[in-house]
Amino acid sequence: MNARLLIFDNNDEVVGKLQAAFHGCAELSARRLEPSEIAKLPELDALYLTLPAAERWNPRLLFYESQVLKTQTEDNGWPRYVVAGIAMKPDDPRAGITSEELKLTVKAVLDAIESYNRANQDPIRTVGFWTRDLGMSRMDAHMAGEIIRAVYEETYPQMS
Amino acid sequence: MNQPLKLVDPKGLIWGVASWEEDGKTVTEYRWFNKIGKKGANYGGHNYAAVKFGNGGRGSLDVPDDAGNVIRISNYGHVYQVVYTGPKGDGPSTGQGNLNASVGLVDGLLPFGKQFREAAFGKMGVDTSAPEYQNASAISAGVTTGALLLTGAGEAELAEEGTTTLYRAVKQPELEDILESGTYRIAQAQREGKYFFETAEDATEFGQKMFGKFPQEGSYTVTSAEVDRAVIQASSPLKAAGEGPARFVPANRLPIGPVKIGP
Repeated sequence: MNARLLIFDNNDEVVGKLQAAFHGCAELSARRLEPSEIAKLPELDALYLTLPAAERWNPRLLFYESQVLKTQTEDNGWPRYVVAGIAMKPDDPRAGITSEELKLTVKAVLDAIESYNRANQDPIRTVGFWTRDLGMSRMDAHMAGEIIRAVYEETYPQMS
Repeated sequence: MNQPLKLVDPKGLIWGVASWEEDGKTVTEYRWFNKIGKKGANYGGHNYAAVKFGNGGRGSLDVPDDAGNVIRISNYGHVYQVVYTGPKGDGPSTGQGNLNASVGLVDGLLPFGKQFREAAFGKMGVDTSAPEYQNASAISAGVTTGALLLTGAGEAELAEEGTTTLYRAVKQPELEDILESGTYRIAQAQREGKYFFETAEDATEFGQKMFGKFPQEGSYTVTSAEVDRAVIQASSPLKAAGEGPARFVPANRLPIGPVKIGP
C-alpha cells in the first residue's frame, strides 16, 4: 500500500490550489487546518518535521535522507512517528531553492517510508505535512502541488 | 565611469561590500566571504561589511557593473544571477543563464560571457586555469547548478575574527538549563547533538513556526553563543530543507557557551 500524503494549511486559497493540483490522485489530499491542530489528528501515522524540528527524537545527520523516528509514550498527543526532513550540503546550489528542496524532500520522505514499511509489520499509511515546513509559503501553491504530485507519481508509477 | 563596481567570485556564504577611493574614483566591490564578523571582513586592505538584504536577510540586491550588466546578488538560493546583460548583450537573460552563479558557468551560457566575466570580476577575478573553473565550465551545458563550486577558503577568511555567532530557539526547559549552566549542553534524552541557525532571523522564525504548530509545548526564546573556530570546525554546516542555513554540533562537542539570552 502506498503512503497517503495529507498537506495542511490554514489558507483556503492555498488549500484550493493544492486540491486542484492533486485532482484525480486519491493518495494526495489537501485540507484546511489550523497549525496547532495538525499533531492531534488521529488519522496520522506520522507527521513530517524539518530536521531541526525533529531534534528531540535524535535523528542522525544524514544528508539527503529522510528518517522515520518513533515518538515516545511521553510524547502525548503526537502521532506514532515523526518523519524528519532532509539536510542538504550548504554549497549545493539547490539549497535555498524552494522548488528543488520540495522535490528532494518529498522523494526522500517517500523513500524513507517505503523502506520503513518493508521492514516493519506496522506500516505507515498516512503522513501529514504542514505547508510551511515544506517551504511552500515561499512559492505558488499550485506549482508546489504539481511538484508533489510529480514526485509521488514518479515514485509510484502505477498511480499515473 | 565614476563608480566602478566589481563583483568577485563566489567563495563562501555571505556577500560583503566595501567602497574606497582609487585614482580619484570611488570603487565599490562586492565579494563573497565564508563569514563576516561584527567588525567586518578584511581583504586586500579594505574592510567589507555584510550586505544588508531585505526580507529578513533573504532578499536580493541588483547592482550594475562597469560593463552595463545588472547582477542580482543574494545570500540565499541563486547567490549570483545575471539579470540584464546590457546593450552589448541580449537584454535580460533567461532560463538556464539566470540560474548560474559561478563564473565558470557564465562563460558557457551568456553571450559575451568571457568579456562579461572579466569586466565584472576585474583584476581580483578568477584564475581561469584553475581546476575548479574548468570543472564549472565543463558541466555548464546540462546542469543548472554550480553556484558555489568555487569554495576554496579565501584569504579573507584567514584574516577574519576567530569566532562566529550561532543562534538557537529554545523551549522553557532548555532555557532553564541554560540559565543554570550558562551553556548549551546535551539533554538527558539527547544522543546526537544540537542544531543551530546562522542568523537570529532564522532562529526566530523557527521558534515562531514551532510555537504556532505546537502551542501546548510552550513558547520559544532565541538565544545565542559566540563560538570559536574549533567548535565551527567540529560542527557540520547544513541547509535543512524548509529552514535557514544551520550548523549541527555533535553531542561530543557540547557543552558550548557562554550562552546569551537573546539574539
